[in-house]
Amino acid sequence: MNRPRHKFHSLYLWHRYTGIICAVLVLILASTGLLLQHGQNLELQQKYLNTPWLLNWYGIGKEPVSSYQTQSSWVSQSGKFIYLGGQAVNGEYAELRGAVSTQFGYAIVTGNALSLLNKTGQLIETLDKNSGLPEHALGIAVTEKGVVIRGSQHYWLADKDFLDWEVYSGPHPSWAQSSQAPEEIVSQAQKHHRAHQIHWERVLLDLHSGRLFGRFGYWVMDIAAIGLIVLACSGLWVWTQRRRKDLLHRKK
Amino acid sequence: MKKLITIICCFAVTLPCLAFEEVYQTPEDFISQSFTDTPQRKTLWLSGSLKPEVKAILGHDYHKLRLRYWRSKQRTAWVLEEIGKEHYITAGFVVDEKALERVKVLIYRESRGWEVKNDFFTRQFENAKLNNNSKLDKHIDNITGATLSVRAIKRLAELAIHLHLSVADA
Repeated sequence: MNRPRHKFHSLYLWHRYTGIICAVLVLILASTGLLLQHGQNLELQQKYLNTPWLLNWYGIGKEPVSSYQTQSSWVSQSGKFIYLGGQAVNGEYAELRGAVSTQFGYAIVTGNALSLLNKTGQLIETLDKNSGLPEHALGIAVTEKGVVIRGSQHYWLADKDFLDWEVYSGPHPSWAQSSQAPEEIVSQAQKHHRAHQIHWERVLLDLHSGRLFGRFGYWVMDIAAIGLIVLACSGLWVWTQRRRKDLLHRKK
Repeated sequence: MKKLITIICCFAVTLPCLAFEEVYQTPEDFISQSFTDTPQRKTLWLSGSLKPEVKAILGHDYHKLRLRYWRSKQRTAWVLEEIGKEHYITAGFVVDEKALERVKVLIYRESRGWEVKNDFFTRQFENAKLNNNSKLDKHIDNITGATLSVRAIKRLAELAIHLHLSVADA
């Protein structure tokens, strides 16, 4: 006579203790899931992690900074970002190979392209071999005649608006060389770069999956998910049994 | 053998995530094909009153401050760029007497949605003009799976006509 009650009671206990044990993990699963669901509205991919200890946890260290001194300012690069005097400009750029000041701002060689920036760092135009450059740009220099870029076969002299190019035939240019920028500029660039590596969507995904805590966290979240399934099934079972009992009791 | 299959599968899965650039036609070739005579090359600075007008068409500022265009009489050609989903699509536009004459996708960098390069899509833009709301006066059919690329090309087409009109009297 006690066996059915014992079975029912033990399932109820399973339900209770599973809930208690998984409560915190289920809260994390549900709340991160909710935030991820609305990730686009919350612009999670445009917001970046800037918490030092969490960045350390992710292994995000300081990136090396390469810099070129121009007449106007230091032009630096850390990762894919370009900095003018330590201030980041918009956009992502390939490897910085040279930078010079021009009448309208700056001319910088990144990858094989030449980018023209105004004095505040806004992009005026990017020239590459597909659009406007006679050859891939490998270096840049300021000469008496104007700005010269180094191609693989020739040196090319730009007109003042960087619209036309002719083969340069003057004294050998002094190509822009990288040098060590002041510590303040390097530090600013590194701080900015570090604060733009991991967006919040990544963090929430890692927390949701447990990956934030390595392999152990991965399995713990699996257990939490299984616990949630057990909770749902046991809860439904307990509820149906209770209803059955109540109905039987009323009939009597 | 199992290891090799795993490696191949992993590579296949990551393929869409790798950097991708397909050049269908260089801007230089596009320009030379667009004119029977030698066009004048000019520049247009996106400043002053033009800047907010461009922003109204694209929904954001154009990512460059200066544009090059080519002109012969009342015909202009533009090479413009807009982000589809994550990367820039480079497209060429020829505008003649206020209407689009030719649209061509020149460089495509997205991993999907490349169907916009096909003539069956770009031909829809021929003879399109701007209505009073600065929108195209022709309906452009969407391509399933390339919605964002289609929208980007449409915005650029509207921009090309608008820029043509802004320089037409110059």
